[in-house]
Amino acid sequence: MPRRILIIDDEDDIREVAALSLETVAGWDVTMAGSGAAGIIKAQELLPDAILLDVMMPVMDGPTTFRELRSRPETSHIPVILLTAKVQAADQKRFSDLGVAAVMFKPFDPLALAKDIAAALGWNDE
Amino acid sequence: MSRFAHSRSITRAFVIALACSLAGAIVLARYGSDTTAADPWIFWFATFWTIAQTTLIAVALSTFRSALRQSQAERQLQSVARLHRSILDSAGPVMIACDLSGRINLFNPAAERMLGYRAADVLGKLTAADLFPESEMVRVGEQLSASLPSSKPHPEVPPETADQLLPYVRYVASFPASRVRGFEMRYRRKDGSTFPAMVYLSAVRSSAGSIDGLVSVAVDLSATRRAEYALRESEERYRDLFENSAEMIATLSPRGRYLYVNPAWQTLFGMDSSQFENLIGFESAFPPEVQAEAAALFHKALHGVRVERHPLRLQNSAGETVEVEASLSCRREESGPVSVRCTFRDVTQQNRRERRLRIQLVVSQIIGETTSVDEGLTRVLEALCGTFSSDFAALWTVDDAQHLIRPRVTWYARGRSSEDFLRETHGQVLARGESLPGTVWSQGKPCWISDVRQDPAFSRRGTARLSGYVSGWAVPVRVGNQVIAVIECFSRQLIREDPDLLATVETVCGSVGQFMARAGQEARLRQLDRQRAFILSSVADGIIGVDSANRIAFVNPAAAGMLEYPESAVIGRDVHEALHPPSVGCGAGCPTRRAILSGESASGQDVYMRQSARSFPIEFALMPMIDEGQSVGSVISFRDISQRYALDHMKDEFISTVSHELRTPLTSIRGALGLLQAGMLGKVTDKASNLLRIAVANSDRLVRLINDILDLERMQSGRAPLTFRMIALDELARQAIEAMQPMADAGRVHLLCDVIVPAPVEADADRILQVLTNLLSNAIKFSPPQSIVRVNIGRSPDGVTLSVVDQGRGVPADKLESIFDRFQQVDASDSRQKGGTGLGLAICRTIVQQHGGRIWAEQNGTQGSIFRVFLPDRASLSASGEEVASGHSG
Repeated sequence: MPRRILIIDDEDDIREVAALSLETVAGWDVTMAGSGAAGIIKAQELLPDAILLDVMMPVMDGPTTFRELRSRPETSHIPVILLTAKVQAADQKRFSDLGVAAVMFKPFDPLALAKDIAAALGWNDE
Repeated sequence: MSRFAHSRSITRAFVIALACSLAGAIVLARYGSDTTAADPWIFWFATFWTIAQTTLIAVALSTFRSALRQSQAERQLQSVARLHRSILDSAGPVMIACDLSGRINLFNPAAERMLGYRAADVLGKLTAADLFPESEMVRVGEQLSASLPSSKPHPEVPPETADQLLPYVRYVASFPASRVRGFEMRYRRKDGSTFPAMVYLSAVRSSAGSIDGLVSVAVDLSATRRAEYALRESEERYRDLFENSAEMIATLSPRGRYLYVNPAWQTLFGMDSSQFENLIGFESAFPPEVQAEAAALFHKALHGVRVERHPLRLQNSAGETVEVEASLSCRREESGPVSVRCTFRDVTQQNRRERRLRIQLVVSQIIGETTSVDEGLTRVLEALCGTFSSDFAALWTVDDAQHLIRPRVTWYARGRSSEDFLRETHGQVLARGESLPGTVWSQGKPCWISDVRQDPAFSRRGTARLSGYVSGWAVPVRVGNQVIAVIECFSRQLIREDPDLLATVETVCGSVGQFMARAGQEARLRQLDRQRAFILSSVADGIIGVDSANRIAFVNPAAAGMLEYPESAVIGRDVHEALHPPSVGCGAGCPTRRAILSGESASGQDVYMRQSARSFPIEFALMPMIDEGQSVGSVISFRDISQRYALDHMKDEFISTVSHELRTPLTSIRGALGLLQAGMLGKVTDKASNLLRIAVANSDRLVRLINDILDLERMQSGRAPLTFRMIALDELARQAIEAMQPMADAGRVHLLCDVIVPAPVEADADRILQVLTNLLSNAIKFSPPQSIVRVNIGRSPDGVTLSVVDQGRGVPADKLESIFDRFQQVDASDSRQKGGTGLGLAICRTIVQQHGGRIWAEQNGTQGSIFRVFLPDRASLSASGEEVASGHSG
């Protein structure tokens, strides 16, 4: 059973590349959402194994989305990995302090992305 | 038979003769009338008898009278003898007689008293020579012999005369008794002492008139000599007093003829006494300019007015100005004035001294009490004119920059118009050496012009003539050896050059120079103070001056504004309490408190409180004030960095956003290219694959560039603070080698841990690892395959040095330093060929410098290079007083 991953990112291109990377390299089942609100809905519907969440999104940014997900019982357990182009140390600390499973940085290596996620989430069988 | 017995026998014979005569007379009377009555024979017998008796009586009477006369003579002689004896005994002079052998036969009581001998011890026992000092008789004898007239033959001298008496006897014999002059001789007393005496010598002659001996009458001259000496002394004293008196003394007749002038008077006028005697009047000796005054003084004295210490100023014979106090008085007798006494006392030096002291005192007072320089200088000019009989004075100041001298202040005596001269003076600007002030400036010494009207070099002679100025002089005003000004004075009198006046004014000018220099310094200081005050008021930074008790002594407006206190409200307050009120409760870690207590220069960031209890972030620097080795306080400057914080925040936001916005498209590009290159989306041709590889590599390079730019910017802005902790640098080096091993393997470069000693050092491990990784990455990149990159670590007393040694192409000597600058590589194509960003070494240097360390490159012999990193011990860093930029923990 392939892993089901929800990618929430307002950037269509990145969503596409990331999805393609996870699907082709790891063979995971990827669902995409273009905003935080849409992502929350999809998360509630699909209850994915992990959520790859962008930080800088209009209307509802990544941290807010994360807190929403955490606040809902059905999604609160889903591990969330922040995928961000914000690489400064202060940002990193701020993100880590949110309680996310991991913080990964853009740009990512499409060939290593799935591996990095699995490592971060402890999916040793991947 | 005695004279008395002889007289008695004569008397008896006379009585017998008288009886016989009487008997004859009776016979004659009886028989005379009758011759016949008597025998005629009897008559004749009686007649003859009577006649014989009468004759006999007459003879007896004569003899009696003769005997009586002889007796009387004898009595007289005896009386004379007694008188002589009495005279001899009572006479004051010494009387001594001797025979021709020199044996003493008379020695009167006065001689006994004077010579100390008893007569009995002398008479017949001593000779004359015994009464004189040795050779005295010879000496005096020679003098006496020499005094004898040579034209006359020497008188005969009795042959028995002793040799030593010869000249004396000859001397006495040469003159009549009344003409023998006395002479001086020294007598010797029995006790050996001597005394002078005037000796009068006479001969003792026999009844035959021959010389039997000598008698000397000597008068002791001791008292006379003493009196003479005293008199001579007294006269000498008076003579000495007059002749050697420094005062000039002259006595004149009422007609003004000089009767006596002492040497001092002669010296003053340069004439001898005979020249004075030829002068017709008292004033004739004086220079023309003072003759009238001198004549008036003499006239006053002659008419009974006593002239006391009247000041006179005249030129002496040497041409020097002499100031004297003249005192004249007239000596009068009943008949009228007899003479005029005139005494001059030279008070030149005294007056000069007084004048010098007075002018110095006056100038000192002026300088001391004057606040305005020009006013003070004008008063100094006035004082100089008053003291030295001048009517106009000017002070010229030297303009060194323009090589000119120009008038600054002037003063002139009220009265006769000086406007023309004043105007011309103020209108002049002179070059060095030009006219009087320029000459004094160039020569650096005083100058005197006796008649400025006639001096062609004096540029203002025309107006000087119009204003009546005659003599002028100028003196340089110096500071050290530099002439900064010139003071000139002009007089309407003809005054000969007076070196002493110039010397006095030069002394005064020394004070004036110091005054001007001090005034200049004070003006500069005031200007500096104003500038400082202006700067302190204008500067945006808060500046607080703190005294040695850590109390605020000064606060500039910016500081007061930031703290929201009036300046006066914080003066005297404890500085820490003013910045951090007790309500804040800052602890021992308070940076400002630590800086204040350390007493050393320090800087840092802190948060200060305004009066309104609002805090604001600041960056401060504390600088101790050391005066002559003693701490007298400190200066704290601080800057409100609230805006900088805001700006930093904005900048962070901007960079973050830019980074994000650059990364976002790169993510898509990199991801897409990566998937394509990996063939995940289908097989691509070799050419396409190559192009994809290039695209991936460059997108990776772009990402690294963005990362490096961000890193460098953050580090250099201080917003990437280091976290210091003790790390093992050797362990860190091993980690770096391990991390870089894949890259080394790819390049077939051997990475070796060469000499690595345990190297604990306090550092930020991540940053140092970043440095090591960077250096190793560079070394690997620029090393040929099969070459070796070595890492070694050495320990020194003050820190640790890590070296990365490669055998690559090396770094040219001229680029060993510049390669640490941003985007400066050995070869401009390196960044493209090697995938570097050109920022790696700049980042390394920034990190190492933030550790207080040093990074540098060396050439590795003929091949390769060595990059060394020195990290100091933090303890030694603190001890040396350095502070690592952004080195605060946390």
